[in-house]
Amino acid sequence: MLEINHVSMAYANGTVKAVDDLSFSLKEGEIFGFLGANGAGKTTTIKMVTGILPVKSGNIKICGHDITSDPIAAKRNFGFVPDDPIIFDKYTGREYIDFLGDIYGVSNEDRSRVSSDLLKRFSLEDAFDKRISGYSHGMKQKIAIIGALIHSPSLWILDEPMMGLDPPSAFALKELMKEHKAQGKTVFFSTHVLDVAEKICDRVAIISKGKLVLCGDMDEIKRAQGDDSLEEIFMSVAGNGNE
Amino acid sequence: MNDYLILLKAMFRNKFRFATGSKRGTIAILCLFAFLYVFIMSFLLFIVIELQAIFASKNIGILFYFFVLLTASLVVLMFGIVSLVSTLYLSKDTDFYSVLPVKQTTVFAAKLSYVYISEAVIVAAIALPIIIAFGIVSHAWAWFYVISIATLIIVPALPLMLAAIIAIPVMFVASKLKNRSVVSLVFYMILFGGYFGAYMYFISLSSNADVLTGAAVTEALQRMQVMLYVFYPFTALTTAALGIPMYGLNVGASTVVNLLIFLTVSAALAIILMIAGKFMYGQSVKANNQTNNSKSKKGEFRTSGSVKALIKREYISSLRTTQVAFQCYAVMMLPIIIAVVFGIMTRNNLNSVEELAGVGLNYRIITLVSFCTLAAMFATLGNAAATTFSREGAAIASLKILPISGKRVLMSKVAAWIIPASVVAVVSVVILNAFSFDITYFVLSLFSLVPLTAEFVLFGALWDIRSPKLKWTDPLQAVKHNGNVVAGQLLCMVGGLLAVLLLVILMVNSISFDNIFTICWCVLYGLLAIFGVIDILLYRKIDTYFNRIEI
Repeated sequence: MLEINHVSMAYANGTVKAVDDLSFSLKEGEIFGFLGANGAGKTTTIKMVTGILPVKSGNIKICGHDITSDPIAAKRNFGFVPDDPIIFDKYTGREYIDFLGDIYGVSNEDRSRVSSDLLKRFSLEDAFDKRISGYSHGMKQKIAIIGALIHSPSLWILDEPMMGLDPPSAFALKELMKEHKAQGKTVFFSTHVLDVAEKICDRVAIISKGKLVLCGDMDEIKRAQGDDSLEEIFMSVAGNGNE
Repeated sequence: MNDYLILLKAMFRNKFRFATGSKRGTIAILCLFAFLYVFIMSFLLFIVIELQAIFASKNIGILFYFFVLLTASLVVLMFGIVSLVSTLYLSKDTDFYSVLPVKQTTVFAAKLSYVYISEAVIVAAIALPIIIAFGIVSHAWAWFYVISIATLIIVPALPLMLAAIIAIPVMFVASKLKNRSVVSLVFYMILFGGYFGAYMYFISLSSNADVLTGAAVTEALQRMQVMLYVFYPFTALTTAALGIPMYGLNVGASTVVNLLIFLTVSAALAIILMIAGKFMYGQSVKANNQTNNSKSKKGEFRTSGSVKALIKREYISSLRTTQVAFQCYAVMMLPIIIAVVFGIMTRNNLNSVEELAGVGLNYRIITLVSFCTLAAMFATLGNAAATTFSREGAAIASLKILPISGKRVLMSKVAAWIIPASVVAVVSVVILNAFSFDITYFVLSLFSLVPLTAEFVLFGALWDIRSPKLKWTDPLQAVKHNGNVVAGQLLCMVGGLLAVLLLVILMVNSISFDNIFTICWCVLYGLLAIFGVIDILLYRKIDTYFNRIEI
């Protein structure tokens, strides 16, 4: 589903390594948590996976399509929810979904079906025909989630998705992730909230200072680390990774 | 008082704050503006010196001084409305200032002072050098300089008060409508057109005079008595500065009376401006504190292709941001206005040439000059395209994750802006030709200037995608402090103006009209070829440019 092979990224003329020789892969039908402290390289990695940043070293494949050499096909297979939902705020929610529907070639019926279900879950029906510029952070996050799922992507990528969501919406999001997995599709998300990762992830990867320090099945990791909680495991392998 | 000064200082510092990493570009833009200012001012000062013999007549001196003040005021009126509305009503910092431990009246006073000082600087930049030069060549008395310099700071009171009075009803109407940006945009465009309409009216008032003589100007002055009475405070200031006795008083008493008239009226206008400004700011704070709980009309999904969706998005994002809309659309009016102005001038010259046969000037040269000037003015058609990627800001990340190539994104954006630009180009060319129709000119101009516009728009977008200015906090910064706009404008304007210069040089050197005609069209088509080659070279690297954009 997603293959990241020896990917590196440096800033400031190569002096600061944000991502350092990162490699891991995601399978179909799993929820994969991408964990790390602030500045560990999570968002940079996700930006490279989604094509926002160019991959200068290594390669990334989504459903077999290389994001650098075959970006259009690769991008057709994922939906992305950024950490800061800077979406087209001059649009109304409906215009935004319409725009994405046009880009991904989603039929009118599918737009109505998918959006009406998600709008109801996130209690966003009343705001759907209002300008996004008037939305709160949480509402922007919700419309970004609906936009990411409008074309039913195989891979759903989320960067810190719980930020700004109220408890009912956070619950709805977790349920959606599980449903996505149940359809045989994959969820790849980064988070600081280790409790959430512990509860819903099948596998996790922990990144520290751009390097992968731990990756594997949640249960296996716990067993190997003496059945500690994910928080304790995180602190032992990446606890000093803060900037 | 301390809070007031701190806020005022912060506002000016924010105005002149430049984005990180773009200092070199900003300095280049500032140098360019400085150069243009010095160039235009040198030209105006040259005219002042050339006209010094005519200034001996007091009536002409009054007329000149009065119109210098009026011109500066018209500029303040035009830009003052934008400045007042954006600073007092549509400002994005209202929330920020609301939470500071400072009285709202202090914030308002600082904001109004910020607008006033900015406009006073514009007045000083336009009027001061010309007035001083005028004083020197007309051997004005010493009080002329004292009065002129001391009162320049007061001159913006009148146009700004008018600007506030015009802006309030527009603001009120716009606030009641859903798409307020379009209302504001239409208003700005009407204002823009009105400004040039008024200019044309002034020209028509004095156009009977073929040669500038004291008698002719006096005649024009008599016809413009109405203007002198309408803007009487400026007339009073003019007569005070020039030391002209009025009301049956001696020079000293008359000057004092006229100054008192000017100062009293200006103080009254300043009070009206403060009341109007406070109302605008109050409305802004009120609108900011209101939660948008209004019911919205339920829409429907509408399917379209990806290119159409991208084009639609381009229009929506530009039209729904008032200031950006003004920068992108309103300036597109300029070539049409220039075409009308040049059309009338050409027609007037044709009439003059018919009356004064054998003057040696082939009137068709004027038509050629008009076409070249129009080509230079098409620089204003590229603002929107030349900032199309910069205006995305951080939202460009949302574009980059979509399954569409950089080429498709670019071509959608270019298509969105080529349509209105080409319409303006065709309209301008048709207008210019309509005043003195000649099928050869019509075909040659249509098939050179319209493709040139398309190439210019494409160039703007290509130049912007190379290195878009994405780090901004206000979308207006993406348009105003953007060297990508200047690059295209410079090429277009320099190209057109060089063609004009070439025509003049050829004419002065008695080159036959047939040769000038051929050279002129070769230059215009050469410009077309140059832009074409540059566009092709840049177009080949679009995907590289698009992929390397980082945010």
